[in-house]
Amino acid sequence: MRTFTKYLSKFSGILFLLFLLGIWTLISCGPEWSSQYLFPSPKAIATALFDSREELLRSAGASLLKLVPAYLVAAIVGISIGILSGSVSWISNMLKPISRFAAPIPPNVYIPYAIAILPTFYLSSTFIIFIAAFWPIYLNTAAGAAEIPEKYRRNAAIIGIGKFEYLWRIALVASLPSIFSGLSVGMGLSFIMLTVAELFGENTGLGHFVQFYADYSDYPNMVAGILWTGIVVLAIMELFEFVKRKLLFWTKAN
Amino acid sequence: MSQKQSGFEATNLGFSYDGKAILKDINLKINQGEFVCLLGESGSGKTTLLNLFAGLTKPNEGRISWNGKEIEKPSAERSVVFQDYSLFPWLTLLQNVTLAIKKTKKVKSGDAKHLAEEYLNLVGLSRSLNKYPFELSGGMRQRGAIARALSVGADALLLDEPFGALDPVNRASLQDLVLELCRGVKDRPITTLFVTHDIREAVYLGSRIIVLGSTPGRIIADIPLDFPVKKNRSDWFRDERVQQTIVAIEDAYHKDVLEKLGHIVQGGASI
Repeated sequence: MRTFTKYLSKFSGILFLLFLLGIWTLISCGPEWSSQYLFPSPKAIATALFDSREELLRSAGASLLKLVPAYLVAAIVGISIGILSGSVSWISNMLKPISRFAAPIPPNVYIPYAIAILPTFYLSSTFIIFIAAFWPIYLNTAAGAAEIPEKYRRNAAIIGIGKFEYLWRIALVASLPSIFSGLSVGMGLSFIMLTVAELFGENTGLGHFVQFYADYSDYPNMVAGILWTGIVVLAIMELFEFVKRKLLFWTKAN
Repeated sequence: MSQKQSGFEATNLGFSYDGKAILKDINLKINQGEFVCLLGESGSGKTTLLNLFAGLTKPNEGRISWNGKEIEKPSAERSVVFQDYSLFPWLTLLQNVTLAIKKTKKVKSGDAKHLAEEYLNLVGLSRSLNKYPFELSGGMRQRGAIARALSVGADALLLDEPFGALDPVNRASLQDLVLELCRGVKDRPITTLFVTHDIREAVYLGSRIIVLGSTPGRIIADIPLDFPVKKNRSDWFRDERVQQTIVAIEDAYHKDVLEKLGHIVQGGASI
């Protein structure tokens, strides 16, 4: 009995997924005029996933082409300014009012203005993703750099590390735990903004795929699009966690 | 060598923080090669005084110098070992020491690495060169910190309660290591300031003991020591002169505490 409970606990995640899949299947077997239409059977979804595989891959590629450059620029700018702001008090004082005001503004309210001032829709969506990722990355990096334990500063001073070198050799590395918190929040927000932008105006990408088939009431393809988006996001987050574990190995004992 | 100019010198040194006097009227001269233990209870300003000698903090009053030159900022000549975390946790032992050498001496990468290995061997860490601080015991980390402090060619070593967090066995072996190293690394006598609140540790290590009284920190005793050669630790501690010194230091402490109490009582009575 005890071993049974142990296994039940170990595989509970998978079992719960199977349970949800069962409920979905049951609903999809309901009367044709309601359930089958809005809740396609798992088989129909799997077929849609397979049949649309090329289009899904292309959509994922198109989405990543917007996400990756915007996110990388946000990371480089956010981390650089964050380290400076967390280490140099006048820069921190200079940026505090603007960041307190601008950081809480939901990035989606910039969409109409971005479309108006930027020449292409590609640029406006990357700009929105940049904004979404920038603030959490900047704020977390700045907080991390400002809270670097005094011991690191003193050790750096003792072995003759100058002010400029301190920024990249010590502050940047010592702030990595906070930087990764910011990168993670920024990644989540930029995914949201990416799909929001694609749902409304873009003609490529994962958000567009879902919206396109929803417009034609092709629900097997639409659900396949949602599932595929989940898989892509999961894969990127796993890759992110892998890099994080590799770079933060030294925080184990602290 | 001009004896007059060598070593540390503090003249009418004072330091206050937020209007509160931490150190007051410190006049102290530490000659080159001396091993001075700085004793005092918590809050007596021991660490502040060490930071002033290291150049990590600047005094508000008086002057402080090393070999006749005013101390203005940290320098590799005066290396520091803190109670913990003297090493960067994201670098291996070898990388930590190599970085310190590369920053302070103008040597090639390969030479810096060889030198780092040499110093880590000296403190008995030749098997742990590529380990990260989180993989090492507290004692090994402090050995690494000592190797780093010496590797930069320091003439003075400032140690801030370096063995405070260690178990007694590790503590004893590190004390002996420090004694041996400070007698001279590569024929270079090291001037040492060792901050501790453990009287026995101070008496065992020092060639001279400075006791700080508290609020504000000031020198209440300056005791030169000239003890028999340390062969066996327990026999040595049973030596009568050692015992007397320990008692003398305890007396200095008690006198300071009683004087302070007297002030409080008098102050209270006058209200």
